[in-house]
Amino acid sequence: MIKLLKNRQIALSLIILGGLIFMAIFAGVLAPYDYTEKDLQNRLQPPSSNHLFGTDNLGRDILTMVMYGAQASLLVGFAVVSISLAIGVMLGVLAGYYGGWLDEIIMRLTDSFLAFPSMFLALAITAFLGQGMENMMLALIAVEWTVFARVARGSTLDVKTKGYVRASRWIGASNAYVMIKHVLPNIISPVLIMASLGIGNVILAAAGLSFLGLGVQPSTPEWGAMLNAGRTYFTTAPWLMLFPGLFIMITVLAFNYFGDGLRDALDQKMKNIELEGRF
Amino acid sequence: MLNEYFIRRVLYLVPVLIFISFMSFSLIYIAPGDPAEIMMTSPSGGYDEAAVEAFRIAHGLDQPFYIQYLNWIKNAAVGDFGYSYMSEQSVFETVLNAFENTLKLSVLALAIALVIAIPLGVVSALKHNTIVDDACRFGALLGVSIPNFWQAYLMIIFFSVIIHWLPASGFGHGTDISYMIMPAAVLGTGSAAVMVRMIRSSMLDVMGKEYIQTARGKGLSEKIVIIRHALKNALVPVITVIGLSIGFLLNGSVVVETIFGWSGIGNLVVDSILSHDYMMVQGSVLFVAVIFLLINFFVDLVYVWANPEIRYDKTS
Amino acid sequence: MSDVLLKVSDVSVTIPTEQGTVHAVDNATFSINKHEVFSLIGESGSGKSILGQAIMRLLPLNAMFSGKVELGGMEISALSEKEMQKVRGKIVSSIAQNPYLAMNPGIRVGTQVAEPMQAHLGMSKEDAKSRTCQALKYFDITPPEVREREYPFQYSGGMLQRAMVAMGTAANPELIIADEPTKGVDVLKKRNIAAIFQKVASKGCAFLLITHDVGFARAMSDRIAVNYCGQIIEIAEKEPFFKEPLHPYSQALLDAVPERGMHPIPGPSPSMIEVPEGCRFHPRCPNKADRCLKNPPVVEINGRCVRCWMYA
Repeated sequence: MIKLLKNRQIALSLIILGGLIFMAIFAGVLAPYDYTEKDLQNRLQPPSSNHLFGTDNLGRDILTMVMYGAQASLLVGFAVVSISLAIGVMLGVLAGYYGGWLDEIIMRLTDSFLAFPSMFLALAITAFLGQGMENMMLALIAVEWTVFARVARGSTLDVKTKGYVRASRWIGASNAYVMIKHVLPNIISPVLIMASLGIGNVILAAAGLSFLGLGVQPSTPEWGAMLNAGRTYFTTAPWLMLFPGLFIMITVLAFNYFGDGLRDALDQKMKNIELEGRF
Repeated sequence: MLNEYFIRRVLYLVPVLIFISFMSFSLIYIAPGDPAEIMMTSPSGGYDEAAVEAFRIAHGLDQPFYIQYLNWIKNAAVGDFGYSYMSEQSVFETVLNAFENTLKLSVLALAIALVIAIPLGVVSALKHNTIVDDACRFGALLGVSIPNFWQAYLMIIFFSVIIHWLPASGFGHGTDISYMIMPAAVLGTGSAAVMVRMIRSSMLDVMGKEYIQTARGKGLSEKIVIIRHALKNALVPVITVIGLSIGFLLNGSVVVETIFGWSGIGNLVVDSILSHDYMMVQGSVLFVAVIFLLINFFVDLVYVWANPEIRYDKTS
Repeated sequence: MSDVLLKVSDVSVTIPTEQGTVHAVDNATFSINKHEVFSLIGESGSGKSILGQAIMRLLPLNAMFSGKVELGGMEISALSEKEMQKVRGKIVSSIAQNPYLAMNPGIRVGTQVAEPMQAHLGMSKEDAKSRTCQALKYFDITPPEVREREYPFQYSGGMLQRAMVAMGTAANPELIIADEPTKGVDVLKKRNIAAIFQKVASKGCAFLLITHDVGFARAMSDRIAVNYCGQIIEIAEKEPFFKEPLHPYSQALLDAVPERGMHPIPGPSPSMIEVPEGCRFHPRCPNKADRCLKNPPVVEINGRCVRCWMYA
C-alpha cells in the first residue's frame, strides 16, 4: 500500500482526486455564492475578481456552480460504478467459477449488452424511462456492468486453475468458501483498476447525456447540464462552457491517470484488461 | 479450419441477435405507462384515445407479450421497423440513410485516428520509458479524458470563429468535405487515443520478442527490423482495436453529430428522443446494435485471416 | 597454433537491475581459432549467454560493457552500430536455442533465410530465393520450393531448427555463436543437432557453443572453457580437460553428469549480484583455504589456463 503511494503517478492523481472530493463535499462551505442565487443584473459577466469563473445567463456564479457540479458528477460516478461492480463481479465470478450452461447464459447476456454501442443503449433506456438523475444512472449501470462481468470472469478462470484453489476444493471446502476466500481477493486488483477507469468513463457519459438534455434537469448544477446551458452563448460568453468542461476533463483524467498508474504498479497479467476496450 | 471457425462464429451470433432484438423490443415496456399511449403521444404531450386504440389493435398490442415480440421480430427481419409517428416515413429507410452519413464520417475519423495513432504508438514503444513515451502516454490519456462535446466547441471557436477556416456546422449536402473535417477530427482524436495505447503495448511486446533479436543478429538495419519484423506483427492485434474504435466512433457520433448538425444516426436518435418518436428510437437502436455486432464479427474474421498461425491452424 | 579468429580480451558486462547490479561477465579473456569448435560450458544463469550477446553487440540497452573484442583482426567492440550491422550475419552469426521463438512467426521461412543473403551478399530477391532453396535442401528441408513458402508454425521442431541453421549460415559467416542449442531437447534431437553442426563445421566455420550440456560439448568441441558465476575459470583442449579437469569446479561439474555418477555440486549457486569475494567458487569448494578469499590468479599450465590458487 505504502509502496503504491510512492508511485508518483498514483500519488499525484490521488491528490487531485482528494481535492475534487473535498471540493464536492464542502461545496456548501467553500462556494463563494449560493448556487440558486440569480442576479440578472450581472448576467454573462466575464471572469473577474468578484466572479472568478464569470457568471451564467441567469447571473449565477459559475465557480459556485462548478463546485456543486462536482457533487453530482462524483456521486453519479461512484454510485454507478459501485452498483455495476457488484452486479458484474457477482455474475462474472459465478460464470467463471461454475462454467457450463450458467457461464454460457451469463456471457451471451453480457455479449448482448456489449453489442449495443454503450451510448445508444444508455440513450434508448433514458428515452423510454424518461429523463432524470436516477433514470440516467440506471441507464449507465446497464452499460457499465458488462465490463466488470468480463474482467471478473476472466480472472476467476485464471485463479480457478491455480494449484491452491484446486487443493482447497479437494480438501472439501465449499464453493462459497472458495469463491470468497480465494477467488475474490485475486480478482480485486483488476477490478479496482477497471473501477477507476470506469468512474472516469461514467462521468464522461453522464455529462454527455446531460449535455444532450437527457440526463439531469437543466436547472441543477451539473457539469454536463451547464455545458448544455452554455451552448447558446459559446461565441459571446465562452467561459460558460470553458470551466465546466475543464473540470470534467480534470476529473476524468485524474481517475484514468489513477487507474493507469495502478495498472502499471500492479502489473500482473493486466493485458487482458487492455482488450476490454478501455484505456 | 477457417470454415469451421466461421460456422462456429455464425452460430454464436444467433443467441446474441435474439437477445438484442428482445432487449430492443422490451424497451417499450420499461417505460412507465401503456406502450400504445407512449407510441402515440405527440410531442405536445397529448394523445387521441381513438388513435391509441387503433394503434393497439393495428400493432397487436392487445395480444400476449410473446406473440407481439414474434410479430415484431418477423417484421424487423425483413427490414420493416414500422413508421415514424412524426414524419410517417419508413423507420428503416430513414435509419439506413442516416447510417450512411454516419459511415462516411466514421471512415474519415478512422483514417485520422490511424494516421495519428500508428506513428505515435510506435514511437512511444521505441522510446520506451523516456520523456517522449511519457508525453505520448499522457497525451493518449488526455485524449480519452477530454469530453468530446467540449472539444468540439473548442474547435469550433478556434477554426470557425477565430480563424474562419471551416464551417461551424451543417451538412453541406453530405459531399462537401469541409463540413466533415471538424466532426471527424473530434471523433478521430478520441479513438486515436485508445489506439495509441494499444499499438504501444503491442509494439513493446513484439520488440521484446526473441525473433527481433534474431533479425538484428542477421545484421539487418534497425529500420528494417522495425518495419519488416516488428511493425507487421505488432499491427495484427490492432485490427481488433478497429472493432472497438467503431464502437467508440458510434458512441461519439451521438454528441458530435448533434453539435455539428450532421444528419447521421446519432443525430437521428437524439432528435427522435426529443420529439418522442419512439418507433424511430427503437428501430435505430436495434439497427445500430446489429450493425455493430456484424462489424465486430467481420473484424474477427479479418483478424483470423491476418494471423497466419490461426489461419492455417488445424485445431482452432 | 593456427591463426586466431575471435579474440576476447578483458570483457566485462554488468547489468543494473532493481535488485542490484548483475555481474554477468567478469574479465573474460579467450580466443577462438579459425575452424575451431569452442565450447563455453557452465550452469544456467552463469552469464554465458550474456557473453555471446556481448560479442554480437546485442546486449540489453542498459548493460555496461568494457573490454575488447577482435574478430578477424578487426576490433568489433569499437565499431559503430552501422558498421557492426555489416559484421552481424556476415562474419559472425548466431543461432538461438528455441527456433519457434527465434523465427518470426509472421514471415515465410524462405524470406527469413534469404534476408542475410540480400543484406550481405548483395543478392537480388530471385537469386536469394534460389540460393535459399539450395540451402534448405542442403539441410534436408524438402521439398524446398514448398517449404520456402511456409510459415514457421508449419514446420516441425527439428526442421525449423535446421532452417534456423540455414538462416545463420546463409551469408557464410566465419563464426557461429550457438546459444544453448540442446536445452530442453531429447537425446535423439540432440544427435540431429550435433550432426547439422558438424556438417556446418566441416565446411570450415568456427563455432562458439554456449551450453550447459557437458556431453554435447564433449562430442562437438576442440577446446572447452568453463564458466562459473560470470568468470571463465578454466580453458583447455578437450582431451586433457576431460581426462584431468584442473579447477575444482570443473571436476565437480564433470562428476555431476550421469555417466560419472551424477554427484551434485554441494551448496547453492551463488548470487550474480553479491558475488562471493575472492575465488567465486570457494564457498562450495572442497579444497578451500584462507588464500581463496583473495582473487585467484590465472595460471597457465601446459597451454591450459586455470583460475585457481591450487596451481599458483
